Amino acid sequence: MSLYHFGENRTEKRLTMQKNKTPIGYKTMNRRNFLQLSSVLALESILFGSSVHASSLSSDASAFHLVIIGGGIGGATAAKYMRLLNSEVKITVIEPNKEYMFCPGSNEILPGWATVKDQTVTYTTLKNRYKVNFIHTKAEHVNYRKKQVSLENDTVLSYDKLIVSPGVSFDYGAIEGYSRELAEKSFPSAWKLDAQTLLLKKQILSLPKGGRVIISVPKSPYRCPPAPYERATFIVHMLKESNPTAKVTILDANDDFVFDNVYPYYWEKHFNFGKKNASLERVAAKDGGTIVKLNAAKKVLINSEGKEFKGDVLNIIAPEKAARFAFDNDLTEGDWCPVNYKDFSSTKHKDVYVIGDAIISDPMPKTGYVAANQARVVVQAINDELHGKQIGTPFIVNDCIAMVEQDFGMTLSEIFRYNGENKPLKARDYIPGVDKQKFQQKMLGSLAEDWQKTFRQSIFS
Amino acid sequence: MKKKLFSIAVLSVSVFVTSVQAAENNKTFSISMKAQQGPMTLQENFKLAKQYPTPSGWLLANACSGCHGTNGASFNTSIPGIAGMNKSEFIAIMQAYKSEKPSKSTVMTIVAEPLSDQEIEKMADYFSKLKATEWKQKNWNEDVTVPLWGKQNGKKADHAEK
Ligand SMILES: Cc1cc2nc3c(=O)[nH]c(=O)nc-3n(C[C@H](O)[C@H](O)[C@H](O)COP(=O)(O)OP(=O)(O)OC[C@H]3O[C@@H](n4cnc5c(N)ncnc54)[C@H](O)[C@@H]3O)c2cc1C
Repeated sequence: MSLYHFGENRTEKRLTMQKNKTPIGYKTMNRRNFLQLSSVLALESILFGSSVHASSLSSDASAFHLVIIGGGIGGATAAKYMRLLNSEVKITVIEPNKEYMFCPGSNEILPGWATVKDQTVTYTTLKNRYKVNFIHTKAEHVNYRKKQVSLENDTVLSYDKLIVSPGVSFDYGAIEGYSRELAEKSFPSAWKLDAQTLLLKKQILSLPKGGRVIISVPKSPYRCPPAPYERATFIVHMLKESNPTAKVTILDANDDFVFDNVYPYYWEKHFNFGKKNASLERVAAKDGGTIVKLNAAKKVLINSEGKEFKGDVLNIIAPEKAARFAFDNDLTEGDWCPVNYKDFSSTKHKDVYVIGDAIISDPMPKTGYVAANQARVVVQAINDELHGKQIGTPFIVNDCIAMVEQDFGMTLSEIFRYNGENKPLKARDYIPGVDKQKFQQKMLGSLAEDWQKTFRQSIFS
Repeated sequence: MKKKLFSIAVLSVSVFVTSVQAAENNKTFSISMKAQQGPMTLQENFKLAKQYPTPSGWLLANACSGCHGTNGASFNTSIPGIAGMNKSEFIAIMQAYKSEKPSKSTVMTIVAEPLSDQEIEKMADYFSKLKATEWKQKNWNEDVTVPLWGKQNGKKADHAEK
């Protein structure tokens, strides 16, 4: 496919336009390189309104092929931002789905503040505007020696660099008596926006009067650490009017949780949290919140000490591992993929980078914000290498602005700094508590809505 | 995994009191609402920033793009665009955020807190060189046919067009 090639005429035109701006010192370059360079400069000046000096390319960029496995948050960001840095390289994304359904904001589907359609984006802009090739099939096998990926549709692709962002797989079997079939039919995990999310919504809306919804939270790490507490809060809101005696119970395989300086305050104030008539309760790991078994026939969850919890709706968030692809292709160590934190290159195979939920990320949480910033670190490193430059220092931010209800939001900010070779990044976090001034919390609520839009736009448009 | 991922070694400041009088119903709540910070101290954070060469302006600026848009060029009701902002103005605003108590701003004080002066300057430099153009391509489902750099109109930022 020649999607990524510009017409010769256009290039000629650009060449004329850029001639006067050509920085001195490039005289010795051959014409081919000159064309590439001038178009990089053109791109820079179009985007940034000034010509930024680009160093000479150390290899033929137009022949350079970046292959990206997974068109989720990590993979899509890598494709777009690589193109922003480099107008010439060929970029191909392998992704089985023709549309991407955003998890961030997906809990809002339960109370009806968002629809599945709101959460769905297409790859149209990435394809047309950013000249990214998409092959809508699954990647199956990587031959690291030959630098080739074979796909489910029998195509074999050669790559110069490979970015892998395949997300997670759900380990339903880790809970005795639970399975994918049961998740799809009766006890949804709903930890990825799909039919399970809608099943959960339906079950909550038809909860018997005074019934109980149980959310079981797996031990960390899992994607989006605050989302179970957000979900629990939203569900209570859903039931407050139609079913005021209903109860939501969080069975938690962890003791502490993120925003535990905000949620409990809100819960105590609005849901009688901590009292007998509470509409929301939480059992921490130390109090027996770790679930190991499901008795499907009786709708009972059983903890490690054999204690039973009966519910009408069981939302069992399954424990996670790196996606299947990572295991099939020798990218894992334990449940996740090990990487070098300078550039997120795999510690196991050369010219391969792994990002997003699939990696050993501690202390970074598994969030979309982090996956996107990891993607930017990787494409910058690849582009630097392509230009014969030393790769730069990584910089990862995780900002979260979340909603408790539409008039009450909260925020956290974290940065992760490089701390030397073979070491994990170092975190600096800040989570403000509850502000006494209500308008602050209200403003955060509206910021949270805006953030969802900007975040999608920053990746897919 | 040693501890939970999001674990915060609570090191410091009690910005907020432990029990708060809720104005509307005069009830006292017992839950802790303290700000949590950690695990690195600010001092350690700045030491690391110095020890390893600063990330590029592009990377620093686009680390903000999740909220402020690609190259700082998204505008909406509550999040301003930063593309094209005057350099000294950007620095002044960020330094003001850094010196403020977190309760003074909803988000930016805590975002600015760990950034070194050098990093702020790099961001300022980067943003000030961009055009203050709005990123108008709001609808990703539209059939976009114009490639980003397809137009040879050097004067106008292409991303302002449909
Ligand atoms: C309820 C919920 C709420 C959340 N809220 C937020 C939030 O508010 N903010 C935030 O930052 N994050 C949030 N997240 C987390 C966020 O969704 C993830 O961290 C993010 O999607 C990770 O990106 P990724 O690229 O690693 O994986 P994904 O986005 O899951 O993408 C992986 C992609 O790889 C593809 N793939 C898998 N295997 C193959 C293969 N063999 N070949 C080709 N393609 C393959 C998949 O089809 C998929 O499209 C939330 C998550 C949940 C569940």
